[in-house]
Amino acid sequence: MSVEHVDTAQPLPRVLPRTAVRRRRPGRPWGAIAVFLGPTLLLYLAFTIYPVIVTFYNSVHTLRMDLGMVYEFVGVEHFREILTSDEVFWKAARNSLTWGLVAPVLDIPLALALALLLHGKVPFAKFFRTVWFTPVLMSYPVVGVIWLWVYNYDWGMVNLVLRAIGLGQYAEAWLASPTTALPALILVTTWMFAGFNMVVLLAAIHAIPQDYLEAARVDGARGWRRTRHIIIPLLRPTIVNLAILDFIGKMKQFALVWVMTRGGPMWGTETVATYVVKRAFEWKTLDLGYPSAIAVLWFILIFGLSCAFTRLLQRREALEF
Amino acid sequence: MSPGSPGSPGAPRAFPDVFYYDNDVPEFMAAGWLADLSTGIRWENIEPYGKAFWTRPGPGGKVGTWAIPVEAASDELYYSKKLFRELGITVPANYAFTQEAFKDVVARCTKAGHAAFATGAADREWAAMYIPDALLLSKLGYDDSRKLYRGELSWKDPRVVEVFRYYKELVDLGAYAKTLTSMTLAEAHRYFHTEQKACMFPVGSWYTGRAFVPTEKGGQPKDFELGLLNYPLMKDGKGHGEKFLGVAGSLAVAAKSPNLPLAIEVANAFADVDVGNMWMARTGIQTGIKTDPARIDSPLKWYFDEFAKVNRSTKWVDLTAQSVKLLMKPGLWETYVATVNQGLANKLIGPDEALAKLEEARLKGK
Repeated sequence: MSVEHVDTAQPLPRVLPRTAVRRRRPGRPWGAIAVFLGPTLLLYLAFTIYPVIVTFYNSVHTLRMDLGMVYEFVGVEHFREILTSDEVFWKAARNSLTWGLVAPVLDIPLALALALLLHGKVPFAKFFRTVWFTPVLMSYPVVGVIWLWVYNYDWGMVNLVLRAIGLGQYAEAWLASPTTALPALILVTTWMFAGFNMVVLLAAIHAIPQDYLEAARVDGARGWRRTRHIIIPLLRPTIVNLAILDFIGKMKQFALVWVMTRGGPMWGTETVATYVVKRAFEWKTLDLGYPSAIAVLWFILIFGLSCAFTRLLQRREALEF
Repeated sequence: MSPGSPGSPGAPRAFPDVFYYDNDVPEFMAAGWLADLSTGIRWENIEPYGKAFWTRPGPGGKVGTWAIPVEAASDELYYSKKLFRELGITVPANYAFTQEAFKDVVARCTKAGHAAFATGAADREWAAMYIPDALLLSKLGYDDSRKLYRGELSWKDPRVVEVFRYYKELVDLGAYAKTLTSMTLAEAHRYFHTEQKACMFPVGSWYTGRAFVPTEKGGQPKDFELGLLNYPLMKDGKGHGEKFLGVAGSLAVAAKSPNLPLAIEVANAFADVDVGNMWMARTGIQTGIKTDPARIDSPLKWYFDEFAKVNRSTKWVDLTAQSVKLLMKPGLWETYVATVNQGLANKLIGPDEALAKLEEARLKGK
């Protein structure tokens, strides 16, 4: 009996076990699979899986330079110390969480507004699309230097504008105070990523079938009502995904802080990522145990919160059209 | 341990045999990555303080001498003679103001719309430490200063409290520019000598490396009148006349170099008075290699003369604002940066709060 004689839509007769059918399927092209997937898997193992395993290993060990560079098992000691007596970690965690939660709230509505403007064919739409997207193309160090200039007390654009419109008394050294430094940095990432989110949302808007929008128009829904009741609900899966990606990205924020404030002043912009780097490479111990423990803790937190947000925000339904 | 680190497998290929070694990576010594240079170097050509700096415990606690001190630098207080003249400030004969007189100098500068100090802390974690470190040295003297930094003396010691409170008075007078946090070291140089927005510039004597180059490369203008001061004298201080001088960029040899004897021989070539003279003549910065001033032929002679005049009775002590971190435990250093380089200088916290945080960090012992 050949495979083509079996009607797989019907229950198989007992005399022919399913495994027998499977055996007769053409074999997988393991050779080709290995050729195509092998290099990628190898790179993934070398640069993702292996470092993760080493980080987990390091997190329960400490380097004893006094014993001749020997790693000593310390169990959960690092984790206990981080959670019970490391004030800087808690400050960094608070800053990172603030950034992770506030940024999507700012970024997504702004990006949505820009996308709707472009979709509404505002004059010079192509020009604005390019302009708004350009910051995404710049690296963090470049963006950081630009915004260091923008926030400069003497000649930065923010203070120049304030002085020009008679509000000079509000001119500040924006990065010099813990109360203004973190908001100032959050604003930079909003500026930087609004364009990316805008492009994704614009693509999603373009993907909405015209029938839906036409039907809404026939029913008398225009302008804001159409946006609120038709477009935004249909964009929900995209918005949720963008928000979660935004959250994850900001929870790992490092480069911008490193360039602009290095975590100062007074730990006011310290993030968990900058603190890990400081503990790993600036504490002069060569010991990656403690910073690895912080990294592991933070990985678990980001993973857990991302899963929770995904379940919470996408719990209703996956809209399909 | 990275594949390129001097002690790791394959290191001889990945790492140079003789290399520039700065003073802020002491972990290389403990890790056993540096060759012990106790023998094979003409140490008689090296200043004793330079050799002493690099003589310390290495791997397993075994004491060795790990590098040749090429560059050395002292913590100096430069000033603009022109601005001082305009503000009617007269420099004392010993080039050091008293505690109260210095406060008056700062007040005069700020009242005239200048910052007292051209300090930019944006890219240096120790930039705003020169003044407080010098005040602590003046008050406590070298031995107790070291004890303080090493965590063996309380930050609540009344003398330390007095210094911090006095320093806060200077800060409150507007000693630092509002741009302190966003100004880089390079910008601070221009702020001082080109824009002339500050009266004084507390910085390492490597000031010359940036300032004595053509103006189009960021050097000081030809007509800029550079002067040197000694740091102010704290009342009843034990460290009057003392000034920090420390080893900076040095030469080390990789312990696992396949050409170890040859590498040490190359390093030894630098332990030479002629090399010291050449270094001084070209950079204007001190060196840990012995020199023969009579044989130094340099266009910077005017500066050497000025420097010698101001420091004629200085008692050099081995430390700098940059190398204080080498004495501190990492956690204490991090707190020192946050409180002194950022908090106090930016008027974000008061002296008592800063000292409480420092004491807490000291007691944690990390």
